[in-house]
Amino acid sequence: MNLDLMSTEERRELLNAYLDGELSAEEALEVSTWLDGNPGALREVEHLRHLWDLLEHYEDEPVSEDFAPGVMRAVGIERTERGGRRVVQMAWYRRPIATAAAVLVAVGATVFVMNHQKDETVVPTTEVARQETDVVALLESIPADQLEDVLLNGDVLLSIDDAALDAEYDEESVLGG
Amino acid sequence: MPDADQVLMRRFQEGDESAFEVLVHKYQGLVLSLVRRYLGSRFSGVEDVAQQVFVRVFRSKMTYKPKAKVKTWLYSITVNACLNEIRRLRAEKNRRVNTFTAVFGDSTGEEPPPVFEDGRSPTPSSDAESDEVSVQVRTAVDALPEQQRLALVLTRFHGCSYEDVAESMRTTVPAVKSLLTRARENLRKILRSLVEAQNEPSTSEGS
Repeated sequence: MNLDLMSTEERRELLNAYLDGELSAEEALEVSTWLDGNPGALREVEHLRHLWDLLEHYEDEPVSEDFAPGVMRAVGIERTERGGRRVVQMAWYRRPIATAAAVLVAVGATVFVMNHQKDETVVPTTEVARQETDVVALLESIPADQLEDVLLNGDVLLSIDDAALDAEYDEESVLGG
Repeated sequence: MPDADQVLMRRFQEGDESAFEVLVHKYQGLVLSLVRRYLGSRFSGVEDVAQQVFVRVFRSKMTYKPKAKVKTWLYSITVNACLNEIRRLRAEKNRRVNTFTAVFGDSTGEEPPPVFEDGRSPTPSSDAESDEVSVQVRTAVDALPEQQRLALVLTRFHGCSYEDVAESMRTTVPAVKSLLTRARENLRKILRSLVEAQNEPSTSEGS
């Protein structure tokens, strides 16, 4: 370490470190010896030391007695809020389970509805159901621009065997009654 | 071998909240002092920021690694909280200036804060203080650029080593050295008359 070969900036940093007690004993001795032979630098160091001492005048304020209890209250609120957020976080962890449960419910409901619909379609395995299906198929096969004419002429409705329909409805009303 | 603070932190991490309370009582003065001096003596929200620091400590207790000094860890949280406050205040100030400029135009806008690298004097404090030296010193420290002020406060008022300052500020030891050198230069410019008055007796004795 040769202070004479250092740049002004490097030397300043070293002298500051010397003042702050950041140098090793060996380095501090070296700086001290160098200062003895450099009165200008020694004055500069004394200047800086006084400047540092002046900062003693920056007095601190006493801590308010309410501060620590205030912190504990704030932490209590924080704990409560975090408790709330944890529930949300747990909900995130539970989300796959909730999703699976929702899917199961949805599938169950769909199966139930389909079975119910299936029952309704299964019950009339009679001529009426067959004819209704045939009518729907027939209506679907008619081009849209001709559909109105066909319906107005009654061709489709006439294709249903009224007698069979009547017989079936009578049977249902008897069973229902 | 863990020191007393590290033992406290471990107890706190294991769920003992009384350990946290002990830490609060032990470090409240240091945290308040750092916030006050870093954010400037005229800043009015010192206790709020210091409270946020402890709430953050409580919240992030598990991020503390036992190899670090509790004090340095606490300082780094304090520095972060102060930086956030500085950003918030700046944003608020910018909003006010923008609104003002939008209404009254650029020519009547606020002047930028004084920069002391060029040796300009700080704005005198409006506080009525009996101790003139105290006011001048406080104003001078307040007038330093943020990073220089922080490095100076940690070294001078909190007795931190360069290494601890670097860790608290998340920077390097050479950067701290440079900050402190510039801080001293700026302080000397600002407090020239006071330093000269202090030096007079010793100078006359020496000649």
